[in-house]
Amino acid sequence: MTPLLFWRFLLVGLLAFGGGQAALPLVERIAVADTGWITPRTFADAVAFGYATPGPVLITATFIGYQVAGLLGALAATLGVFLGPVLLAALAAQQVQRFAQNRWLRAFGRGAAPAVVGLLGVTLVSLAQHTLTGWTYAAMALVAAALGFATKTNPLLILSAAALMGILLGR
Amino acid sequence: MTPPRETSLLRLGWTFLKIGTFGFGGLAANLALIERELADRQRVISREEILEGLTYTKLLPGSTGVQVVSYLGWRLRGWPGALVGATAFVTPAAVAMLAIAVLYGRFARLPSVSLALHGMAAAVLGLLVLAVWRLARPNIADRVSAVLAGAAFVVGYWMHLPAAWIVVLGGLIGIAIEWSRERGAR
Repeated sequence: MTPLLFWRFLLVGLLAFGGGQAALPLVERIAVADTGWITPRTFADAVAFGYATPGPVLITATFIGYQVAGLLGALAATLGVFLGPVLLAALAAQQVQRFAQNRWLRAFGRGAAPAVVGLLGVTLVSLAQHTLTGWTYAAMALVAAALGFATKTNPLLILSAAALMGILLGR
Repeated sequence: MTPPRETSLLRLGWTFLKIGTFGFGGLAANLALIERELADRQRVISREEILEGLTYTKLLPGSTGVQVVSYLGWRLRGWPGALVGATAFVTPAAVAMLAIAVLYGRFARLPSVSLALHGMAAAVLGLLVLAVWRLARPNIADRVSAVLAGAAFVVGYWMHLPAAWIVVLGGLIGIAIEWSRERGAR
């Protein structure tokens, strides 16, 4: 399982046109929809932890890797998801214009990025089906989106408040 | 392109370890920390170079924050700088996540924890709506990209085509469009 985790997450990293959050639908597809490694609810929890921890959101890979194959799995998934992009970025620093501004790479990105947006929509719908089990949860999602949109509230704060609300409202 | 500048590998690693520990709240928060530490305090790299790194790495696939770190790491200490910087930046988050994963296995089923997690999951949905909006604005600029996004949704949702294929297919369509433009221009 561990090599498979590495390869799958390597692919996720290399297809993440648009940044870390853009890769979340790819993660959801490979870990939930295609393989059944984790449940949709666990995936939602993993993303929440990804937002709540410092650094990149894609650290979600560490959590999923651990759920699938323990410590080694966590290592494989983490290495996989960051290795490609880190090497590409260093390569870009080495030969700035020639590489990152390559016409065909950019053309690929121009087609891949909208596809990623569409896939993020798919992830959103399938998460909503498993998460919004009552109107209170729908309201919380709306408030979270509105807060993030209108203010620059730290996601960690939004998530902590939501966790508290979840306990209070669930009783 | 530019030769690496003077800062020790150890200091570079320590700096990004600190930034990786306190960089809560996404890309903007991490960039602010990077600017303050490397441009303002240590003065080893300029704000313009950081912005340049952001501009270029945004064109590449992958987690942008880590990529800016790798880019700057290379500028400062070459390949070892890129690898040490990126590793140091990711390590605190990975350690925190491992701790969470272990605790999750033990406590996720407790009623109150499960309720809290359900609340968090709802908020995550809201944050993802925001992510769609933020990604859509720069990337869906014309009719072609709007159709591509719509098609990706339809194919992904109803036909269950693997996501990686859909992204690659989108990219190939982007290349095909660029190619036909080139031929049309001739």
